[in-house]
Amino acid sequence: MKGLLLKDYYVMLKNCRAFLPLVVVFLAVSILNPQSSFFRYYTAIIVGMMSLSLLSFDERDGWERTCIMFPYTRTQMVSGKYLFGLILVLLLSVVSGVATAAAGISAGTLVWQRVLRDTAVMVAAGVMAPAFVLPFSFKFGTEKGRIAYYAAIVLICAVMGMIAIGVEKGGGNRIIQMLLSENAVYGYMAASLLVYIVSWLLSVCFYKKREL
Amino acid sequence: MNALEIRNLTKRYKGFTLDHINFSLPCGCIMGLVGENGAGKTTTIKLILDAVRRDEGTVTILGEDNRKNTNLLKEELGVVMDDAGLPQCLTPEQVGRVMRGTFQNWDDDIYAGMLRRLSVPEKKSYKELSRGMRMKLWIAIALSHHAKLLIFDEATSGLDPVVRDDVLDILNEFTRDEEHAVLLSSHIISDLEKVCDYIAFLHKGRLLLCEEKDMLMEKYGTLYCSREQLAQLDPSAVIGKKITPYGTEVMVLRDRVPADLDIRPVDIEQLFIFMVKEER
Repeated sequence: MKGLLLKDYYVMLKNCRAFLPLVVVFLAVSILNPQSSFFRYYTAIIVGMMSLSLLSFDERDGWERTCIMFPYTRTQMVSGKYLFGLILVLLLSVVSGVATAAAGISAGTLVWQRVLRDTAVMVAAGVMAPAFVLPFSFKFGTEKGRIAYYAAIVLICAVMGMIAIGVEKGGGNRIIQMLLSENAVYGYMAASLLVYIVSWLLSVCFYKKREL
Repeated sequence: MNALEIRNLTKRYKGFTLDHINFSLPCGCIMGLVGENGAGKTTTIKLILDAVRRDEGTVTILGEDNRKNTNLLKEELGVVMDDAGLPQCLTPEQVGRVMRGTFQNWDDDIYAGMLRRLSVPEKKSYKELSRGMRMKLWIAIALSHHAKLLIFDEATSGLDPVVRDDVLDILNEFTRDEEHAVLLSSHIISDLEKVCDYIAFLHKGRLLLCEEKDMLMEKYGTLYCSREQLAQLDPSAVIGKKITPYGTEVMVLRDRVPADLDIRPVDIEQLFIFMVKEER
């Protein structure tokens, strides 16, 4: 497994270098201007999707066919991608949290609860996208997987839209308020991590059945 | 002990079936797998590696079923596949570090020595290496983790004759250890003739023959004769024939033709071509 993670690290350094300045600038903007949280969450989404980019590179380079010659089980091959993505998202969230806290301390405006909430949202935002895309990619390959992913997103949005209309008509404002409450973000983080784990298991299941 | 045992191995695809393949590769030996494009060589190798699911049969590597303890078994395998790829951006130096984290028995000294011996530049990225260089890098990887069974699929095809000869020397050195064995698939039958102890012919998913090379030499021979002489031969002795206006070349079973005929040693490439054409 160490070899797989190291390989992904080298490939990321070489092929995804362009993202690094973007991540640094977006993080800096969100730290200097606490109102612009969008940039912070967006970096988490970019970094979270790195595992999908790495899977695309693997497919292009024929690494999937190669990897089967080495002492790795299919579970390890899938787990490598999930673990690498999770490490990146957690690392970015911690760095962002520490930098925000340091900036808050020096400016005398530190609100710990806000730092923790932002960090939790970053983790949730970072793992959700790969959690949805990766199982499709491991089942169908990255190209076909992406199409299946978009189809799934359209379906989910349609269902969510219908639920929202139903809640509104049924006077569910209290439910909406609860979902948007400040502490709910910790629940979102836990839920997204759970979805990530389920996605991980699903991908292992799909990949075991795929012929390489 | 057999390094590799294949029994009734079958894989069905739409339009192609690898049909009940049987062969054994004893330790200390090199087996050459010969076959035209699409004969089933790569499918056989992928089934050995459990990269595709078999429909029937068994594959035993060093006494173990290839589906049990897969990781431990793959520690013992050094594989070079024609269509294998490494990340384009990785240099051989970085590949070495990745492999150190991959194989328990990875040996940095052997790897560095192999790269030097095969003149593979350590700092060039994989995409900058020629096809031949890439193959050499793969050979270096396959030989640097104390594997017991090497599986080379068309590994020598992109190499110039001098390097090919070097690689064949390496394989010969490798099988000096009685616990080692090599399965070598190639179109270049002259290479196989140089190093192989066993030869297996695959054609359209079926195994036409699998014999010791020396037995092949004893069993088969080439006869140059006239059409009249050909007509007098026992038909069961004729494996294949080529009739031209200048004469007739016949591949025969030595023990079924009269002893007074001038039977010349068999050329394995010719034998393969004759057998395949007869099958058609």
